[in-house]
Amino acid sequence: MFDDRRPIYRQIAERIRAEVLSGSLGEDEQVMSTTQYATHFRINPATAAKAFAELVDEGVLYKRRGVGMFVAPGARETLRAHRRARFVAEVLDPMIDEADAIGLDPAHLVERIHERMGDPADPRAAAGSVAGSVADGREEAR
Amino acid sequence: MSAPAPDTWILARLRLRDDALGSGLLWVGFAVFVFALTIGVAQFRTIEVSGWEVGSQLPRWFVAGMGVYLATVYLPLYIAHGYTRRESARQLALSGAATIPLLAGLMTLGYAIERAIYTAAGWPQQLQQAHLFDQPTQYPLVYLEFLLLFTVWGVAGAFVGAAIYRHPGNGLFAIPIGLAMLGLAETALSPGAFEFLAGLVGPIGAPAGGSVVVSTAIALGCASVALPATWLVIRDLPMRNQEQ
Amino acid sequence: MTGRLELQDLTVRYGDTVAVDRVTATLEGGRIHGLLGRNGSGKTSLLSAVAAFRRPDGGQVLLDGEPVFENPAAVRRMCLIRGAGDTVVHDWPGDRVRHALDLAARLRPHWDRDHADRLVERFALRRTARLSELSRGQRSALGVVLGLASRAPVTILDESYIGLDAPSRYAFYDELLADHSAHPRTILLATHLIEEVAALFETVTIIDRGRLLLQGSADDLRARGAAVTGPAEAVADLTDGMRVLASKQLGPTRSDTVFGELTTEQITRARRAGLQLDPVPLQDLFVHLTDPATATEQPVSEGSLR
Repeated sequence: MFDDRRPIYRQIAERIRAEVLSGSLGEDEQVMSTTQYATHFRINPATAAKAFAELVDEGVLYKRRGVGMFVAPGARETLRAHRRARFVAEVLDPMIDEADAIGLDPAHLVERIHERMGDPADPRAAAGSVAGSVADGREEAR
Repeated sequence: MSAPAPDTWILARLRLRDDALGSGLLWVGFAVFVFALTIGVAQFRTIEVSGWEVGSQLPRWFVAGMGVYLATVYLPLYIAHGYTRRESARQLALSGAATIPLLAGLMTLGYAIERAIYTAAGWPQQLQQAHLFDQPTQYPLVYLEFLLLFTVWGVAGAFVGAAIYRHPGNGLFAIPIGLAMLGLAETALSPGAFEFLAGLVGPIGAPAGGSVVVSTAIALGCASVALPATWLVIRDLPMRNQEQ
Repeated sequence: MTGRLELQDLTVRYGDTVAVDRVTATLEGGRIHGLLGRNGSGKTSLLSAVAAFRRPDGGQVLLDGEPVFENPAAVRRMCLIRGAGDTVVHDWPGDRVRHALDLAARLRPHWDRDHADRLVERFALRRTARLSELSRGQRSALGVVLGLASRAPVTILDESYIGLDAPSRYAFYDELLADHSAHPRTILLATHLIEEVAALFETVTIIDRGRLLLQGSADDLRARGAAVTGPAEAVADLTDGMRVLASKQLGPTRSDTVFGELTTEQITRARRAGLQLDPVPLQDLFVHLTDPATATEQPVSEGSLR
């Protein structure tokens, strides 16, 4: 259910994005209609419609006239890229600031990341995507 | 979403169905009661007067009550169901205008039935009070009197009911106004009932065996003052708020 | 045929008491609107004037541009349910649930008999039950049935569903939404219990002591409140000049509930000062906005949303 503290349409959009990211909503798969969404979650239909409109603008969903809303091809990748950018700005950078402030050794941090995310002997597998997107992410991040 | 064909006179028909039928049934019960009582009394003493005349004091209160009820229950009910005050008032007045002649007819019929019973039993159908008619067999006059009586009582009831619904406190002042109007009409139609008022009406030429036309004019005059007065009270009538 | 309501300088008085004070607001057609106000804030009086249950003492109400009072075409399209619906008022012992339904079926031009039957079943109403013997919950249920099955282009429920128990209230929300999407129309729900119904509203209109406090999209309103928590001085510094609805202090920590969107600059400043920013639930906003202790006489335009 939705809490009453943030605009509900944003919460709906967030929920659908999460479903696309996790793969529980596949590409070209139909999503619930505005009406179904509204009745299922007991929310105003216009609010649900607003969330859908936002996702269409973002290219996550597309509309087939008379049929309904579908997940756009490539939506998952778009979202992942976006999330990666946000991750850097909202999680990684503050973490690095904090690590710096409490005097953690950067080498120790990198070692820890390799340990958790993959084999340090094959840096491309683990670090490649992060390193690549760190550069993009800094520009994209708000 | 288009509305179905409007049923223009639905309110009047609803009331006619219930009120006309209801008062007809009530009249049957009332008549049975009056005649049974008369026959019962006859077991102990000689019947010398018309029982129907005595009994006919009661129905006018019923008609006044009906006026109160239309103004205080049905008018708000219809407003709440999406009708204007004008539409509702017009149709309620129409249903009253159809019910009252019917009731007057039934009350006249009562004298006729009584006539048959009294003739068979050999009792005199003697009237005690002054009326527009001298004999209970003058049916057109009997009918006219009931018609006028019920009209005045019904309108007075609606007026008093509406006033009290609208102004629960000050509306009580409508009661003496309504009673004064009834007194005037009753005196005009039956001067014996209110001796002191008869004195007032007498000088302006009311009956005591006088003219039917003048009596009718006075009664109709009362109704035609009270009817617009009632409309003035209800034309802006605010629905009462409910206690929740 | 859209069901758009316009309130223009609407005023309702009882003698010297002003119950509704020059309220101007527009409720767009085909949407679900919430009318929020504390008990005695003037909700019922306002709705009475909207539904032509009483003549406004000032200003007017327009339905699709036409004044509603004593306008047959307008009142036929509106259905205001107060409590259990006005059928129950006279409570004659002979009056039963089925009589109330029959009357509505005859008088409401858009009445949907099948829908009424389904709702009666859903709310477990007995058709033969005497109106005078209905429990509070049953009276509410009858009000809801009369309102929903009326299919009136403008359907107004004045707290009718508040007497329902929790499962029935959820059934009501479900029915309302399903019905609204199948038969779009203007629906106006008045309530002082916000938490549960807030998500149903597209717009919210808040009145307080007869005045319009604010009107706007429910989601915009959700974005308008923030709780700022942190060292007292830093909080005071940040919220200076903002509309502070409530302020609590515990030792050196202070928490201000502010109304109005924080600028990006303010958010950055707050982060830098180590202040915590939290969203505020609609119900809390409502409570603070209508709290006589803190609510100041705000001009309508300042508090209202676009």
